[in-house]
Amino acid sequence: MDELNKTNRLTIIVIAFVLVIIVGLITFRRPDVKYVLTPAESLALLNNPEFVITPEQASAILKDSAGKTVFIDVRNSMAFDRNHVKNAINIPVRELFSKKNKNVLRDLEKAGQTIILYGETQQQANGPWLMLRQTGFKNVLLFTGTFAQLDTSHPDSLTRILPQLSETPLIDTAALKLVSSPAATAKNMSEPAKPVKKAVIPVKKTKSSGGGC
Amino acid sequence: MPAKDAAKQTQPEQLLAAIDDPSRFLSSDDITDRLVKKDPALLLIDVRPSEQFKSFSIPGSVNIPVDSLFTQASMEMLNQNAKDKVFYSNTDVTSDQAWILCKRIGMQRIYVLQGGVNNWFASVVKAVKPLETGSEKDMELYQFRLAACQYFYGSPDMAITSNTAPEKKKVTIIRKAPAHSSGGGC
Repeated sequence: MDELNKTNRLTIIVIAFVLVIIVGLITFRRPDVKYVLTPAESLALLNNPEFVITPEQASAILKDSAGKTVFIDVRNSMAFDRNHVKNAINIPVRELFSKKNKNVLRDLEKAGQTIILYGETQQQANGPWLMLRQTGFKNVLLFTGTFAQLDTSHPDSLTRILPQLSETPLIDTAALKLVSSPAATAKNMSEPAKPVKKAVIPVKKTKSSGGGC
Repeated sequence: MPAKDAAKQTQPEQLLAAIDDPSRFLSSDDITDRLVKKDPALLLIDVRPSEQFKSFSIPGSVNIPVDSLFTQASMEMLNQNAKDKVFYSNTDVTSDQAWILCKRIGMQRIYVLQGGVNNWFASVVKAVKPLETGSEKDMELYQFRLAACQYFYGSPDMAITSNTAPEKKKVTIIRKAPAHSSGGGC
């Protein structure tokens, strides 16, 4: 009787041990997200108008709603609950590679859907876009505007007139040349054009080139 | 992909966590402060196309257009651990993309200028005077920005009484050749 108890206990211990090993193996072999593109290949993605979508194009898609495009909202769930693009899926930046979201993304890819990533600003959606592209998703586009530009509940908002591409230089360089050259402004009263030209001639100075002893 | 290269890289999940962490962003005033103090550890990198860099750039920055980020000359300049490399573009989209790719290949001490050169120009060069009712702190910040702007460009609306201001201005518009390595030394 006593012996039987002992073997029982032994089998239980052995079974528990095997279970622990199996669980360990399963968690260890969790499929990782892997880079598909090399850094140099990823670099070629930047500044390519093929991979981005402007507010103008996006509003055309919103009106059309052909069902071939899915909006993904990378803002946090609170912002998403407050307001979001119709039928958008919420995937906050941090949860991009969670198991559930990976499945969602793969299903969309298999279904031949185009994904448009948007955030509060383009900057917010930028990281997730580049991560998805680098890990092999070819159907992901980056929205170049802010969420406010997509927000149809405020159609007459001032944000509509924002630049279509966020990487637009906004600095008035002509005015700046005047600011940056007091000599030019002083001379300006008599000769307006020439002094400005003079002012932009780069001054060679050895100090900034660095290096040397 | 070579195996040793892959091992050095930041893995996608870690990189995503880094992307979600806003500590890489430095503010315009931070950068201005360090420029005025001539911080030797600061390396400002303009990732815009060279035409835009030529027409306007933050004083003391070097131009590495984003498409030539991984050329040998750029890598020599970027792969030095003694400096804080701060990327900027017109806003912070392209600069952040450059940051992500550099982070991926394992680069250290890299940052992004928040709001980019557009914001730097609007907040520092075109600083707006706070209301009379504004806090002392706002006023101090405004004075600092004004002083910094004079340091960079001289003062346009005041008569030039001191001859040091225009000299300083001249220094600031030097254009460094992008290919020029600032390293060197003995």
